[in-house]
Amino acid sequence: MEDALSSKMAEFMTALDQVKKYRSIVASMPDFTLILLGSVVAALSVNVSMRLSTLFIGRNDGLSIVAFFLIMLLFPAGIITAILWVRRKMKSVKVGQWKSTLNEGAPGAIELLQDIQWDNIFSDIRYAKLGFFLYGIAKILAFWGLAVVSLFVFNWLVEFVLHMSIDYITVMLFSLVAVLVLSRNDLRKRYEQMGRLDWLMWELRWFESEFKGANFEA
Amino acid sequence: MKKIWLILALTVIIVAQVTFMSSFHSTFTHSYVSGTSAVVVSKMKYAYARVSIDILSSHFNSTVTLTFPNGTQQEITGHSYTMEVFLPRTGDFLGNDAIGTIITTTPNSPTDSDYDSLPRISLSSKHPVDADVVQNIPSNFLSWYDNPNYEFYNKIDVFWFEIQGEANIFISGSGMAI
Repeated sequence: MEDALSSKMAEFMTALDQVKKYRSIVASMPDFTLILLGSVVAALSVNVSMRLSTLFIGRNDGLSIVAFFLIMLLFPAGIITAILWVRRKMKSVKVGQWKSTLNEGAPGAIELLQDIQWDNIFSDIRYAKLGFFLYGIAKILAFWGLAVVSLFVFNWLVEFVLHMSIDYITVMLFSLVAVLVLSRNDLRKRYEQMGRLDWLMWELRWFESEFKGANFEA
Repeated sequence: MKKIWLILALTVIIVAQVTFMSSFHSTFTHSYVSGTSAVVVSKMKYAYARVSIDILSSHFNSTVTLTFPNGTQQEITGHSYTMEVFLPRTGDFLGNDAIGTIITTTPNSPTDSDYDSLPRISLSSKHPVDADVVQNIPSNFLSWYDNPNYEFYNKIDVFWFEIQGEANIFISGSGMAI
């Protein structure tokens, strides 16, 4: 009975740790957006500077090539940095601090249960779901942007070499379909995880009502 | 909360940058010429333009001569010759006048519709910089341009020069209408 309680409690606390990590996604969404927007501003600034210098100073092929590659690098670099930043924030969330308390057995499990602030946990789960959803959307949009930029470069090369080109709407639609197909595993994982969070919420609601109705003696 | 304002500020900057970028325009043309031809670069007065003109002789021994409107002549002896022309902003017209002005005129004659098959100076608010190569030009080429009665005289700038000889001409230009 004691082992079952400890094991159930370990499972429960692990799920809560996961919620804490997802909750940190919401907290890092402004940073994610700032990094992405910053990279777009930087890429557009290089583009505008290059156009102005070509117009007012004169054509400089070397500088144009450097600027072109800089523009092509800045946006993908922004996406990668933003994703790495969110992951870093997620990894920095302290988890497993309950393990030492749980090692004490049933008294430790009951102590952990008594320390739980239920309202905060339900709020955290709601935020975790929101963060998980928003991050998924932002990631798809960022990869779509990257795919569009890459396809435009490819289109430009095809036009340059073969004198053929794909129209803009096709480029946009094709890149969206490609990103959705390539992200299908991530989308499925995200959908399942949202379902799990819903399930956890219901389970906790039930657990909360049971726990509040029971009398524990440590 | 500060981050939200920073996000708003960056979004405003991006919208401003994209709007500013819409004022940049480009033009490109390529042509093979022989006999007496002309390169015509035109722009709306409210636009800046820089045009790069590459002239490649068709034969190594052939001579290509450029004649500018003021009578100056330049003989090109090498295989290739590149020149850059910068046309500054020289005037302004605003509102519907700027948006609604669409100029399509043959360089030889702005009024004669018999010249419809010839290259056209084609300018509008969406294409404020243009470059054309016109073959077999008459002696009074572009004489209309200095005529103050020409309805678009106060709206466009035209730079041109004659080319005598056989050559391939590549013109690429960029402009900014602001």
